[in-house]
Amino acid sequence: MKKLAQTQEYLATVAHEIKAPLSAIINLLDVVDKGYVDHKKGMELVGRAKQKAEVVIRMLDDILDYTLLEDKSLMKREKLDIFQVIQESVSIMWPYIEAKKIRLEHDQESCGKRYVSGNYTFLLRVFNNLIMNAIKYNRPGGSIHIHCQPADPERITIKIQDTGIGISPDELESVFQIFVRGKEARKNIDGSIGLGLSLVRKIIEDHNGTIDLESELGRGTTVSVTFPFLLREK
Amino acid sequence: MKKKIMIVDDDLDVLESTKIVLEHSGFDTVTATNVKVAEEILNKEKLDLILLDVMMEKDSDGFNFAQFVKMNERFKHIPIILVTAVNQRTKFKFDAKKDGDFLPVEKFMEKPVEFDDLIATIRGLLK
Repeated sequence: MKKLAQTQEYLATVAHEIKAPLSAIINLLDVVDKGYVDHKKGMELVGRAKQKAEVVIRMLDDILDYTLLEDKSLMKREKLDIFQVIQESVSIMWPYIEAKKIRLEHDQESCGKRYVSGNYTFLLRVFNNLIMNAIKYNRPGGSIHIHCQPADPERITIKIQDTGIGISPDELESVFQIFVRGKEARKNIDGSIGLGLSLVRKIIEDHNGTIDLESELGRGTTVSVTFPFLLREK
Repeated sequence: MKKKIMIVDDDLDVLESTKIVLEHSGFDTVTATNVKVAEEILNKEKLDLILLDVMMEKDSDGFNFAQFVKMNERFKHIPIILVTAVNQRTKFKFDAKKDGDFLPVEKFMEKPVEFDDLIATIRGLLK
């Protein structure tokens, strides 16, 4: 009975979170359709409606991934070079990094030839999400620094450090909860559903890893993701 | 003199599209993306109506602000339209006569708001 109530609450919240940006899209297109603005302004509003639609797509992808994680048969594991995964993620995110003129430092030396056992698709998703957050909540012209260090002889920690808006101390733990975003993040209104970090943590924990956040409001955030080594190449 | 409407919503796209429509329909507008700014505007401007999104930073922000307005002698005469996507979540059907004590607003509208309906509702409340 409790699980049913939780499922209903979850679905109702998801429906609301998706309905809000869809309502905004309808409003924007309505303004253009009814001729309230000139052509130039109309094109701007259409562009914004398109961006909002892309946000909805990302929300739905997050939800789908979250539910897929429940199916362990889909979690195929292989030997992965962590550096390669991070590098792939950086390539995917590169247009956003360039657009915001962010300086990215990726310490290849510290991250190279470190192997973990993992699912490539889901681990790529982790780094895409974390690097995207570092970009999204960063200042134009800010920086992101990615480096790796051994947590102990059997584990490796990947740190992603940004010079962004930061998260207040009282919100640090709750940002991992479904649908929660930090107060400062909500000011960067992008309609994101707040599923990202809860999904990230779930994937990491499924890989026997951990994730920690350190943050200072107005100065930036450091995300530390730790995985057990598979083996280390000499 | 044009009637002045404050639009309170944390979604910048909703804010701008609503502002365009209201101004096209002959109203003056001021906008706020959170209740703190809304309160500042309330104290500074002479408002004729408030268009208020229910859920902003916290689920209860819109409700709390509406109550603040209606419990204040200076502002309680200002009609409020509460707008939300949350109606289906709570199965809440607003009835001004029945629920007026709990929800101190004149009208409850569900997102996406049909602009023609919104203008008609505003004109009805401002008569």
